[in-house]
Amino acid sequence: MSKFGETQPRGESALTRRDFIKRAAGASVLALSAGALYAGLYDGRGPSPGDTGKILTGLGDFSVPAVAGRMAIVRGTDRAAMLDRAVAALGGIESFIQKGDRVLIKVNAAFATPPSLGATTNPELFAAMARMCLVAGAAGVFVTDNPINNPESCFDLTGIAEAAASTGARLIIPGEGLFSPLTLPGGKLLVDWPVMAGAFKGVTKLIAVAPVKDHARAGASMILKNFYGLLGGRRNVFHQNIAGIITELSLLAKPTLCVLDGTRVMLTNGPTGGSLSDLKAADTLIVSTDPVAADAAGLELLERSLSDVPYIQMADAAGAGKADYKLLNPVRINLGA
Amino acid sequence: MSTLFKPFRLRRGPKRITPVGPAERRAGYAVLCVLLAVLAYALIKQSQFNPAVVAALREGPAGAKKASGATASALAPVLDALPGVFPLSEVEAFDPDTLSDKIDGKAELYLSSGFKEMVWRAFGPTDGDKARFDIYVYDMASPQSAFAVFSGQRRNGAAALGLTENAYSTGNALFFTVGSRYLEIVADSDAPAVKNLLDPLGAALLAKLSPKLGEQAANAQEGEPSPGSLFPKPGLIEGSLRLAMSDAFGLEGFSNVYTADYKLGDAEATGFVSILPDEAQAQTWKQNVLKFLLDNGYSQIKADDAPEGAVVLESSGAFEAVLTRGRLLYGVHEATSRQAAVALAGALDKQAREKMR
Repeated sequence: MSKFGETQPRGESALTRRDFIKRAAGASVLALSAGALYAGLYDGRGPSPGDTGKILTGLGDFSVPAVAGRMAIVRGTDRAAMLDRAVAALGGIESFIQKGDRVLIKVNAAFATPPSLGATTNPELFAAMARMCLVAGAAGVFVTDNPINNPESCFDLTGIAEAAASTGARLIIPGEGLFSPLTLPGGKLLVDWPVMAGAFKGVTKLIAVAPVKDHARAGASMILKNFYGLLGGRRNVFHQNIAGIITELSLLAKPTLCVLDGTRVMLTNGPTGGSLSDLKAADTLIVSTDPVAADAAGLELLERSLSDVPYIQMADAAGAGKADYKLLNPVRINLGA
Repeated sequence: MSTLFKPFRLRRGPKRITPVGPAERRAGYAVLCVLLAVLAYALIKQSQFNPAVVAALREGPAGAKKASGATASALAPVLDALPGVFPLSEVEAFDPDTLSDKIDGKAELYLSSGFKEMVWRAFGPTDGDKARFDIYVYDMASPQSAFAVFSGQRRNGAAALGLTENAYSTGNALFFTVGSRYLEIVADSDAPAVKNLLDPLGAALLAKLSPKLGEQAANAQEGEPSPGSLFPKPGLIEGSLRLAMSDAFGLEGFSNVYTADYKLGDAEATGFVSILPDEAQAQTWKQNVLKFLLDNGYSQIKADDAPEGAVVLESSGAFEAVLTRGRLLYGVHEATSRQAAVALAGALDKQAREKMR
């Protein structure tokens, strides 16, 4: 066989210029047709998870620049009292919440389990946070999460629904209409993915309240992992790249305040736990404006290092906050046991 | 040569035949370039992971989405009537696609160990106490799979129960395996009245799920020593036997590896045992484990006092030992001293010689 481009010997089997041009034209038409067909059939946007027709790029920046980079670590056992002291140390609730603000509190209500098992946000802590916002003049306090399985029962059993009712906070049950597709700029995973953007409608401040927990897949579940609950769809596809998705979630929204509850820490068998022996009293509450720093400080309560939970440094590298939380010069307060 | 590949022939009269010129050559290369560009474009687009597409493909067409927890299950009757409690909810069933809806990130532990289905139901005590019991029944691929998830979550220091071979309780919960099922009974408190209901609930569930004799016989492999018997008793920490169904120690493909923890004087170590299908595979996996350790910074050290054929390695004060006997691959993982690694390797070797005769 001769190589392409070599001169053919003259004779019956040699290629003529006309035939060559015909064949070359035919091949070109075929190649261009294949390319055109592929380009025509390729759906670059993928299936739209919502019907809004609008692709979001983020959920918003709710941080308050004047109080950026602050942290308080309070030792004690009374969550409400610890929260009170921590917020006061950061400048007072008025530094974060102004009159007329509409505050969304993102809790962890991922499981229909009682507060005693420590798998979800403690309802008393949530209630204390909600009350504080209302006292500061918030026009409305809303609370939400997206537990895939039976949200009503999750809010009910975790005590969040009752705590919301008792404080005047309004519960947002994740319904299909609340989700809109979002593509994070530069994101590899959050592409046309449904997120609970409807819960952010009219919201001016965002507060995350989460427990410190072991997590079988991610290594730890704290503030950043808590934002996983803003995702809709079959989000378990992200479990194969859990550090990657949490890193992207860290860029989804900038919270006003993060409240990380290490009063009782789920040291083993997270994120569900199940046995009271999975919990250990760490008697610590971490409150920060920086979600990455809050998680980094929470790691110490879990007796883990940054290398055990890669997404914290990844979120730092992505610009979501500081993995070296000591750079924030945290205020340390001891209220005693 | 077939007519199909017959060389090109002129159909009409002689044509002017000239060598392929530079323009024709360029045109040819241009066609090839177009083809390569199309191929490259297709490959690049194909490789770009779009989670929304993956999820949509899994779910099927819109409206076909399976309702989480709504799957009918043959296991559901197990959670019908139980002593001392009444149902607070309907039975919900979860398959491999929906398990994470119920237990989120812990689903991977089950999925990697041969998970088939889980049924759940909540109960309250009939005596009027305000308490709650969540009962989870996991149907796994085999008794080994059930043991893997049982042992992978075993709470340190929990009291072993006589309920089944693999059973323990904590202050508020009871965990056990029966055949290929793993069960959790979780109460919301450790109040005495609540705790008193755990054992009767466990016994009732065991009675409903106990495998038939024929099934038990089928699960037992003739002439095979039980994995637990391959671990020597001196220094063994009770209740530390675990089974990694996949990727043991982080080594991809290293599956069905039993481990047990030891306290040897001041030192700690983990023994491991894997029964391979044949001797050749045991040798192959020995080499795989050694390569994995060497790739991760371990160095082989001299250990004349180790059992014959054992390879001992060290990295930053952590010691490993790997050896084989027939189709058995075993050794020591993360010993905190050289002496402990060699002593445990020797004890494992002695046990293997006795049990694998």
